[in-house]
Amino acid sequence: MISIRYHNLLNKQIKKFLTEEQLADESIQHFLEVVNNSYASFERDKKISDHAFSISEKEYQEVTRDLQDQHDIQLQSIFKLKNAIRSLDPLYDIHFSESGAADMISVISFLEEQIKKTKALEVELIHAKEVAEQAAKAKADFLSVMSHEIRTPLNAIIGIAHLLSEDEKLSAQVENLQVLGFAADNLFNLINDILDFSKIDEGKILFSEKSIDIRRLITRIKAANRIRAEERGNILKLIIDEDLPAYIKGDDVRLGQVLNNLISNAVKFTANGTITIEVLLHRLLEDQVEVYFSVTDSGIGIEPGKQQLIFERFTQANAEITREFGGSGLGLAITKKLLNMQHSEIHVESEPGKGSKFHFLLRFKSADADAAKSTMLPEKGKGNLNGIRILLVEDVEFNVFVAEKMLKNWEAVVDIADNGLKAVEKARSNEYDIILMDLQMPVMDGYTASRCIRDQNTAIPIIALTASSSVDIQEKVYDFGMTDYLSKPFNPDELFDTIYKYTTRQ
Amino acid sequence: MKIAQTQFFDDRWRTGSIPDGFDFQKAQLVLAFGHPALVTDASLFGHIRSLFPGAAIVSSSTAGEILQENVHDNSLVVTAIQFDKTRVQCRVSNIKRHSSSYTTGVHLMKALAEEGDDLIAVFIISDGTHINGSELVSGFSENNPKCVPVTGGLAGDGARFSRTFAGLDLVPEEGNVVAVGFYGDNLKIGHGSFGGWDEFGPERTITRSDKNILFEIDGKNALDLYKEYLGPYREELPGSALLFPLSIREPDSTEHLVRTILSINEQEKSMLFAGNMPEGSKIRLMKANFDRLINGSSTAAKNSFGSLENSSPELALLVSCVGRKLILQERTDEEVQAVKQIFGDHTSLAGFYSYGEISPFNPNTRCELHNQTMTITTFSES
Repeated sequence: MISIRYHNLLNKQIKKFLTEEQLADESIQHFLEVVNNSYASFERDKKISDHAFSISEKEYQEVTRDLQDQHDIQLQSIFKLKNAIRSLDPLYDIHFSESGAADMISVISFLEEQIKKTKALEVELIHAKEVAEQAAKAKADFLSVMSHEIRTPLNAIIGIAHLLSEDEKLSAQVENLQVLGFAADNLFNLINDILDFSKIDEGKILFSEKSIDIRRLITRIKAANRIRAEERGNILKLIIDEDLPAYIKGDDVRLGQVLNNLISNAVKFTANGTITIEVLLHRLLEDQVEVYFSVTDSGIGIEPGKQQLIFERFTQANAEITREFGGSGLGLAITKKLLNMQHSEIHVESEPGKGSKFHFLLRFKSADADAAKSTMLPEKGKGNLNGIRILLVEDVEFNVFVAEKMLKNWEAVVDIADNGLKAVEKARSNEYDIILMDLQMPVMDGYTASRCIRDQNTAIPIIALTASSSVDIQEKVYDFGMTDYLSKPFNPDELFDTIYKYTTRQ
Repeated sequence: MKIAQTQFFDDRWRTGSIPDGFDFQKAQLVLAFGHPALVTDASLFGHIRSLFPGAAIVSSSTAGEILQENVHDNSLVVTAIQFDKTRVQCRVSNIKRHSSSYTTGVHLMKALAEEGDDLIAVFIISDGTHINGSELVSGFSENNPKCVPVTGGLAGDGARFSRTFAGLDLVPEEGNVVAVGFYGDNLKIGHGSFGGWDEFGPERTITRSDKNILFEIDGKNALDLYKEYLGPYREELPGSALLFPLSIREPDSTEHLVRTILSINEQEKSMLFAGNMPEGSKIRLMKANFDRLINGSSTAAKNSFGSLENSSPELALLVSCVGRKLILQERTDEEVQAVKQIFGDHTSLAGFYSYGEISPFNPNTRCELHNQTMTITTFSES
C-alpha cells in the first residue's frame, strides 16, 4: 500500500524500489516520512524562490528599461548640446566622436572652458568698472577742489569790483570796471555750475522754503540780464500775471538760478531780437500755487534732432556754438535736474532761425501774509546798519578786506578775529550784535569756536561763512549751534539782508 | 567551571548530565529556556529553585530549545553553571519602569558596571515583544568604554509572536530585561554571529518609517511589495514574511544588518520589524538556502572561539533566530549539529530560538541587534 500523502516523486520512487514487505516495516515508514517532509520543504522553497525570482526578474526588466530610456534621453541631450557647441565654436568639433555618449565629457570640458572665460571676463569688467569709477570720482573731486580754490580769490575780485563801482571814479574806468565785473560774474557762474553739478550728482541738494516776493525776484533777474541783452541789441520783456499771489514759499536761489540760466541762454543765442519772460498763475490748489514760467526768444533756434540733446551735460547743439557763444555746457543740464528734483519737467519748442521757447510748471506752497511781511527788508544803503556791532571771524586777508569795507560802508562797527580761539576770547570780553564765522581756520575752526561761544551766550546770532553749500555742511552748521549760513563769495545783498534780519528782530 | 543540564518535557523531568564534583549548592547561575507555558509554570520554577538554592535563576520563553545537538519544542532546558573563580551578578528591570528601551539598557549596564571594575562580559535575556531591541542594545553600548562583549537574545513565543517572558529569581514576566554580568580575568569569552542568507533583487531605499515600523520603500507601500513577492504564500503573513528578511545598511554605515518581520497592520499597511528601520537606509530582500543557513551556523561557531584559539570552550550558549527554524523545519537540528561538530564533545551546548540575537559584529566593537542569525557566546574558565 502506497500512502497518497507522500510527494508525487517519492510515490513513484517507492513504487519502483520498495516491496510491500519493506513498506510494512515501521522504521522504513518513519524514514519515508522524513524523506517526504524534505521533499515537501524543497518543493515549497522552490515554489517561493521561483515566484520571487520571476518578480525580481520583472523588476530588473523595469530597471533596465528605465536605464535605457535615460540613456536615450542622455544621447539626445548630448546630440543637441554638441550641435549648439558646433554653432558657437565650429573648431571645437574635433573633440567630438561620431557615436555620442562619451562626448558628455567633451561637452562638460567645453562648458568648463566657457565658464572660465566668462569668469575671467567678469573679473576684468569689474576691474575696469572700478577703475572707471575711481577715475570719474577723481575727476569730480578735482573739479570740486579746484572750484573751491578758485572761488576764494574770486571772492576778492568780485568784492573789490563792487567796492570800486561804489567809489568815485573816472569815466574811463567805468567801462573797465563793467568788463571786470562781467568777467568775474561769468567765471563765478561757471564755477558755480561745476559745483552745482557735482552736488546734484551726489544728491546733495536741499530745497529751502522761504517766502518769496516773486514779482521782485523776477524783476531783479530781468534787471541783471538787461545790460547783456542791450549789448546784443535785444529787448527784454516781462509779462507777470496779475492774479499771481504776492508771496509764495519756495527756494528763491534755485528758482533764480533756473530762470537766469534760461534768460542768459536766450540772450546769448539771440541778436537784435526780443526775449519774452512770462510768469502766469496756472492754478490755485488748496495750499499750493502752480506757476507757469516761459522764456521765449527770436534767436537762432535749435534743430529738432538736437532739442533733447541740449539737456545732456557738456553738450551744446553743436561744437561751433561752444566756440562762438562759450559756456560750460552744464546750464541746461542743471536746470533740467533742478526742476526734476522739484517734480517738474522742462519743455522746449523751437524752430531753427525763428527762435526757441523753454517753459515749465512749478508748484510752490502758498505763503501766509505774516511770514511774508517778516521778510520784507529795506533797500540797503549807506548807514542802514548804523551802530551794529559785528565780530568778523576770518583768516584770509582779502576776504577780511572785502567784508570789512562793505560792512563799514553800511556804517556797521566791525571787529576782526583771525582764528576761532581769538573769536571765543573776544566774544567773552566784548559785546556784539552778530558774529560772522568762517569755518576753516587755523588754531581753532569755526565749528569749535561756535560751540564754545554758545556755551556762554545762547542768544547771539552766529552766521557761518562757507565756501561749500553742501547738505552735510549745512546740517553740521546747525548741529554746532550756529544760526544760519552764507555761501562765499557772498552777494552783498544777501550779506546785508542776513545781518539786517538777525540784528533788528526786536 | 562545571556544567549540569536537565530538561523537562512530556510532563516529566528527564535525567540530566551531572559531572563529577558538581555541587548543586554552589552553582552560581542557572539558565532556564522553555516554552512560554512551561517557563512560567510556578511549580516547575519551584523545582528549579529547590535544586539550586544559591543560584541566580535566569529564565526566558522561547521559540524552541537547544540542548546539546538537539532542538526541542514544548520543553524546558535547564543549564546550571558552577564557576571556580568567576563572579556573577544579575540585574533585572522592567520596561514599565523606564521611559524607553534605550534607558532600560543604560540603567542595567550602569548597575552591572557598579558591581566591579573587572566586568568582562554581559549576557542579556530580554522580553521580545514590548522591547525595541535596537534601542535596548544602544542603551547597553552607551556606557561601555572597555567594549566588553555584550551578547544575548530576545525571548520568543513559538511562531505566535504574541507574549514573551523573561525573569530573574522569580517566575518570568512580560516586559522584563535581565542582564548577567561576569567578573574576573579567569573567564575567557568568545562570540560569533552569522546568517548565511543571500541578497537578491534591486537595492531599494526606505522612504517612510517610524522607528521599527516600516511604511514605504522607494515611495511605494512596503506591505504591497512583500505580498507581491510572497505570491501564493501571502495568506500566511506575517509568518511567511520570514522567508524574505531584509538586509539593511543604515545611512553612513557600511555594516549590513538583517531585519525580520514581527507583525503586519493591514489597516495602516505597515510592517513591524524586530529592529529599527531608519529612513534613507538601503535595503535588499534576502532569500534562504537550506545548506547555506546550516553552513552559516558552522561559520558562527568557528568565529566564536575568541582567544581560545583551537581549544574547545566549556560552554556555548546558542541564540538562533526563529526565522531560521521556520525555514529549516525538520532540518533545524542540522544547524545545531553543525555547531556541535565544530566544538566537539567536550563543549556543553544550550540555547534557544529567539526573536532577536544580540552580539557585536567583531570583537571590541559595539553590540548590535541581529535577526536571522545563529549567534554563539562561548565560555571557558582557566
